[in-house]
Amino acid sequence: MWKYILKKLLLAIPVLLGITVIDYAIMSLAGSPLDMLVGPRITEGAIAARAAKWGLNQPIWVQYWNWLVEVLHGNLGYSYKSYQPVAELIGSHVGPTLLLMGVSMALGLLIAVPAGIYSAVHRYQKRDYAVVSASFLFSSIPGFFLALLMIYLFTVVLGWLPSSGMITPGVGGGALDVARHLVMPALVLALGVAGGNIRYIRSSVLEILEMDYLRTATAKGLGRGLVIRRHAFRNALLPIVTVIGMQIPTLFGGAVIVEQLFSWPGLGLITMTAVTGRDYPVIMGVCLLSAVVVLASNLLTDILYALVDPTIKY
Amino acid sequence: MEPLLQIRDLEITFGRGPRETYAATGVSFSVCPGEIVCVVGESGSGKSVTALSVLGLLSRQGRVTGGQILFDGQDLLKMSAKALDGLRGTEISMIFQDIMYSLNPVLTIGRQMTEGMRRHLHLSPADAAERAVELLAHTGIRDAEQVMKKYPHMLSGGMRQRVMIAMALACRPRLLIADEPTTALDVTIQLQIMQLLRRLREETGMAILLITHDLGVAAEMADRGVVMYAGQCVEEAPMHELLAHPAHAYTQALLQAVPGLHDSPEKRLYSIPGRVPEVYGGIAGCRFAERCPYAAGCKVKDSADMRPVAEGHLSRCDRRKGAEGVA
Amino acid sequence: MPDSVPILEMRHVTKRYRVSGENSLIPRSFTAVRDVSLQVQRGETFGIVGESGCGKSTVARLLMCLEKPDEGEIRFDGRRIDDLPEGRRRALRPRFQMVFQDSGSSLNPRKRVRDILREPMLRHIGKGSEWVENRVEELLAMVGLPPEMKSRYPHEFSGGQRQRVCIARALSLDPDVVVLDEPVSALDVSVQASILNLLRDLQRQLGLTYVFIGHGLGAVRYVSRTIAVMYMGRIVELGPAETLFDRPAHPYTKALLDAAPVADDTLRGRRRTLLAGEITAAEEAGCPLRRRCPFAEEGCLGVSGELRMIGGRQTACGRALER
Repeated sequence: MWKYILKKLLLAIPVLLGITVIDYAIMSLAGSPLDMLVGPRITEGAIAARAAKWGLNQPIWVQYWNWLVEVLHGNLGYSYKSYQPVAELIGSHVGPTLLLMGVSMALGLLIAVPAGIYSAVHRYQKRDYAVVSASFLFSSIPGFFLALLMIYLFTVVLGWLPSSGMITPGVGGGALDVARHLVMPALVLALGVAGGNIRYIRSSVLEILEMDYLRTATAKGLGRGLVIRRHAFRNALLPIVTVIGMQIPTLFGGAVIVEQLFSWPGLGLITMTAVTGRDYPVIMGVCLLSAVVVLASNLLTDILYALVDPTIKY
Repeated sequence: MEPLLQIRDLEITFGRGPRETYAATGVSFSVCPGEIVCVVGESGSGKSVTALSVLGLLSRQGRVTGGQILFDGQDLLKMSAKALDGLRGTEISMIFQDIMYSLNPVLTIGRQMTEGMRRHLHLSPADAAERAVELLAHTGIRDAEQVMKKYPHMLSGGMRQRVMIAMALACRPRLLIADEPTTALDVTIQLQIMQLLRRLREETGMAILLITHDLGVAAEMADRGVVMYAGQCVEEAPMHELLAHPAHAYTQALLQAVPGLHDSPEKRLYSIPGRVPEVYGGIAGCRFAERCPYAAGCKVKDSADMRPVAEGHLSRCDRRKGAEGVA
Repeated sequence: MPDSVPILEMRHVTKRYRVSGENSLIPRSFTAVRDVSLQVQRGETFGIVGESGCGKSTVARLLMCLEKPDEGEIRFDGRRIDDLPEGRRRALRPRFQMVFQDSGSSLNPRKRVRDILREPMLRHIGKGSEWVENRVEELLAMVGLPPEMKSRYPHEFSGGQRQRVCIARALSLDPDVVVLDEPVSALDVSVQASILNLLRDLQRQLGLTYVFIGHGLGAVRYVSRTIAVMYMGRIVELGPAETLFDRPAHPYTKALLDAAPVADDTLRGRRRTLLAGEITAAEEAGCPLRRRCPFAEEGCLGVSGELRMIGGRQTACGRALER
């Protein structure tokens, strides 16, 4: 197993580098932070001085190289806006994002897996159609719309849930308080991914239900319950692992938008500000982090596959 | 002798409403204790669905719409699902054509071997494992203990089939139904499996209902043969009789279509003109008539029922040398 | 009496495949075909039999130049073809065609039969579309299908009919050689008989040469004049069909013949040459059958696998004939 993991890790490094190169290129093409400084009272000399200070007067590949060298020394740079170290900035905001992602994923699985299995087992009956229609509904509703709907219903009308932030000011936090703030953003994210996942799980389980080994198990007199639980479900773990693997990157990106809507104090907030302000160091810091997250989740998925699927050799 | 399994007038239908078709009609034959009966037929003959219906294993769309399946006098079709589960794997076992997925790829062989025994015989995990190793060794698998820990994809086709056989025998069934068990195997392995099944019959006295499209396999294994065509039984006889003096025109045609190992180069295989009818529920009388060389002038075309043509030998028509067609 | 130059020939061909190493990062190699030499005479059928893993399908692909041999030569009409540049090889393509086992997947399900048959002709022959249309109908008639079938899709046909379409496609370029890889194995007995008859008739009509690969001994016997028996990548016996089948020399050939199920139950309890166990992993030294062979002795470890003439055919071992 260790060789398997080592091989994957070694392959991940060039991929990571490649991602950072592409990210840097796109970022530079999108516009320079110097454009933000232009105004009636800023002289050209001042802009040039700023450019020199930030190293923006050099060609892109040199800029990239400098950035990379610094990163390898453990230095992610300083924000152009706030002069705060990027590492600190990201570090203080990554916690809430991870919390949101984690809960959304768990919630998403809790919705999608049972619904997909239920739908497959009752294929072509009314209940199946109901579940599939609901899943289409979830995938079609834009996140921001769903968020606004929920805020209207649960905050404005019913007054049950807070609509912004992670903790109620003055109350000082506590798990229950955070949980109440977490419900809606997590639900919005979870329902967004659940739509596609329900259908994916459903079609995977449908395939499994057609398999010959279920017939063999039935012929042994194991009874329908055991046949489904032990023989079918065990095979359903594979598509579930696939779903987990696919969800992590999606959730990371989706979280950025949802955090805006609910003012959730995570990476989303600082990322948006950094992008609109063309705060290169922060942007690259977040890109690096997200690349690491995605690659790590791929590795995790590969390991899970190897554990769950005995036909994979490692 | 009182038959162990009696299939009477079995009718199996597929599909619903306007797309309803018959897969088998009026199928009747028996298996006596300790007997090996082979049902021979080509694709579309209804032989597989007949076998599957005994243990209630027809897929979603297929269902039995008529007839009886009596095991020890009890009608299996009228049993509750729970009662049928009690019979499955204990009194009646089934093995299938092992293409890739007849064994669950994510469970070990040991798990799949022991689960039936633990459920039906209430053995402890240790006892069941011990018995499983014995059974595997008995079917000719060396290193049975190692095999218990393996997964199906690690074994060859022949070994997987032995595992299936061992699994099927775990609770000492009185009837084994084998659906094309050797079709996917190499010919030398096929022979080993056939010899194994015959040996097990000698040792345990269990009866075997073997489904196959290969007349050679039937010749090798069977005490009695049943030939099916277009959803019906067309001939039934002791195997020797069936091969030496086939009565039905279809059986004769089938035997003449098989290329032999020592035929002279001038021999031409008989190839039956036309095709198996796709829908035969509406055909009255003989279903083979449109392809039969004796059709012109045939006296039984309209009412070809199964009739005795010799001792223990039934057929819908009699085309043996010297016979006129009518039984 | 052999013709002057065999139309198709393999000389000491070996083909290896890379298989990813199980426990290491270094890939191992697996020898699919080992030192195979054979000659196919014009106008006859050369049959190759063997069980799974014996390499017969690889031989088919090598003959069709779908793979390159690692050692040895492949010759067509006396000229080497395995080392030809792609363009020259493509020019030769119309002269040897192939029919596969699974007619369901070798026909494009989205194309009508007419287009399936037209495609090779439009590619290689520069004739007008009217000529091609006529030829399509001609081909369908040759394989016993009514001309209306040309506007149907493959899934509307039965297995046997689809195989006829595959044969028609193979014939569309008027080839010299047709390689058939298990063409009837997936068909019912009665359909098999009609396809075998068709193949025989077409051979007589058009002077075709066949390489017929199969595991059904009866079927291969029915169409072949010469037969090669393969085991674990090697040819173990090669000779005229009757000689091999009536008086097999190699124990493996005998075991295959004894194991083949025959529709004659008087043969049920007959004395047979039985092979123990299953195919073992490849070994470098000695006869590949020695661990399973009932006639094996110590000397078998030193056997080279070379074929020698015994009793009118080539074989690597003559034990079965002696007993």
